[in-house]
Amino acid sequence: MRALVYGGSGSGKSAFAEDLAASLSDRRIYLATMPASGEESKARILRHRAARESKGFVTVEYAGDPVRLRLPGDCGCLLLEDAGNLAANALFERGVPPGEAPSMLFEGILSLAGQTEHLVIVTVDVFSDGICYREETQDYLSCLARLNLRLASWADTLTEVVCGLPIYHKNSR
Amino acid sequence: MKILIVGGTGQGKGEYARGAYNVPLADGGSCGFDQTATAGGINRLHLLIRRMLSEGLSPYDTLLKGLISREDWVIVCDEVGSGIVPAEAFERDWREAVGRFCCELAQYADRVERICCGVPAILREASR
Repeated sequence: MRALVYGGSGSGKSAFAEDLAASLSDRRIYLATMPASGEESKARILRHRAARESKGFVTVEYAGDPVRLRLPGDCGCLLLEDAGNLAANALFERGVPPGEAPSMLFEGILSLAGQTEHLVIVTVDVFSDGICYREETQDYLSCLARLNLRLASWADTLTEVVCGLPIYHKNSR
Repeated sequence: MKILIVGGTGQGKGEYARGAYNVPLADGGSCGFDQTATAGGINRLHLLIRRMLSEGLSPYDTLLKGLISREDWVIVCDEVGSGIVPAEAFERDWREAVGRFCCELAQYADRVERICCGVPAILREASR
């Protein structure tokens, strides 16, 4: 099962994805992709990690190129949070050209999918604030949008979360 | 009935709420913080939350508890979380708080509707 979970800030998408992962396997790994820079994100990471441990996830923190990541063996369900960080890490931390990043990241996710029975990917809706940003942010938006399209086309399910409630856009299982 | 109505800005949510439910709503953009207890509900909840945060008040303390204890309300709120995460902490906190507050309200609502171009889609309808 390959599931894509989509939603805005505070939409409840993470909690939904965690519950979905819990329903798929008892052997769960949580892949955290946010680089720990700044006190706020460190505090956030610690808070999230504590919340997940109580939900039975083993946490792997990795902000590098996903194609290089080797998961601990015997992974029943990988929860990847989130695709927005993958795109930001590629463009802003590793300097990947925006035109190449979506394909490169998609390949990385395929590599992760090969190491787990089930994969739940969280991705972010950052596309509706009507603001025209400077070039590097527009590149980010475009990169993430194209990655989302690839993922949604490939995934078995696409679920948008609003107010913690699911809207099932695609289910091809 | 407890009704939560969400959607993007300018989608006709307030007009829809008036037509479908016809109850007087406090305007979150201008109402007193205690006025929400007496009105039939709240329009523009996202602005009320913003004003509360800017005064250093937690919307969870009195507002959420008050709403949970009531049998009937109509609450209308913009979805504000679908953009690039802002650089300013207050803006980030506000978006997060609006989203989380609506997640909470949705748990207690009998019906959650999302309005797109004036047309409602029901996200959840509780069987009572």
